[in-house]
Amino acid sequence: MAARVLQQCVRSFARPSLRLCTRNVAVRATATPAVFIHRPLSFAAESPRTRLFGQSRISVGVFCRQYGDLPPLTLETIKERVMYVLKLYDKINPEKLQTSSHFMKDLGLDSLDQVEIIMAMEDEFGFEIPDAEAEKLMTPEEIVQYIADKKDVYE
Amino acid sequence: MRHSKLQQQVLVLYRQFLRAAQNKPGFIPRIRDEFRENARIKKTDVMHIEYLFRRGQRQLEQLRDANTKQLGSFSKPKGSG
Repeated sequence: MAARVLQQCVRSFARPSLRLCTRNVAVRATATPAVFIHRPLSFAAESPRTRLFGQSRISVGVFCRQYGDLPPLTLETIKERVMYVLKLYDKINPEKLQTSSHFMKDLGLDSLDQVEIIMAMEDEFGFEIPDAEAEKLMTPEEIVQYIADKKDVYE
Repeated sequence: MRHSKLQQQVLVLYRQFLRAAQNKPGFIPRIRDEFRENARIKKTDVMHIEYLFRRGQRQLEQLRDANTKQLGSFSKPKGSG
């Protein structure tokens, strides 16, 4: 199975595509480490030979880089993360929290708390939210929409 | 929710304080308490607010200085003395 995976890796490498071994990353549970590729075209000819090698590493010559990345953002995951962060905030009662609850009118927070909440969101999602736009975000739903907007998440 | 210019400046200052104090232990509770306490001032008392705002800016500069490491305080235990 590892050999078949290697073959897929080589073929996707030989094709000038950006999605480098993305199928492999999902298929391989444990990281079989990198194998070094010399020349993509000539390697395709050698591929029957790699079937024999199977698990061996250095003797085969294919380099397949596995890029680590964060899990993809969807509206659902953004909403879960936003609600999770809000539940951790000590001034919010987790039972009363809904996606449509207004921070000031329903939850009784004030503008200083709202600043803290937006900062927590910035830390969670890893990007800066400018002040002009931050002061308009008054419900969890609006925060989710804003982040989806900024991160280009469509459904 | 329309904030006046001064209110917006105060909120920006609050944000800057929280950011600056992130890696320095002991500042965050003090900052939060101070801002919370002064939030009670009436909106019309502009002189006082502006005074506190300037004071806050100077304190922010002190906080940002690399030599400031942490904040601690003494408190008198209840029931003694």
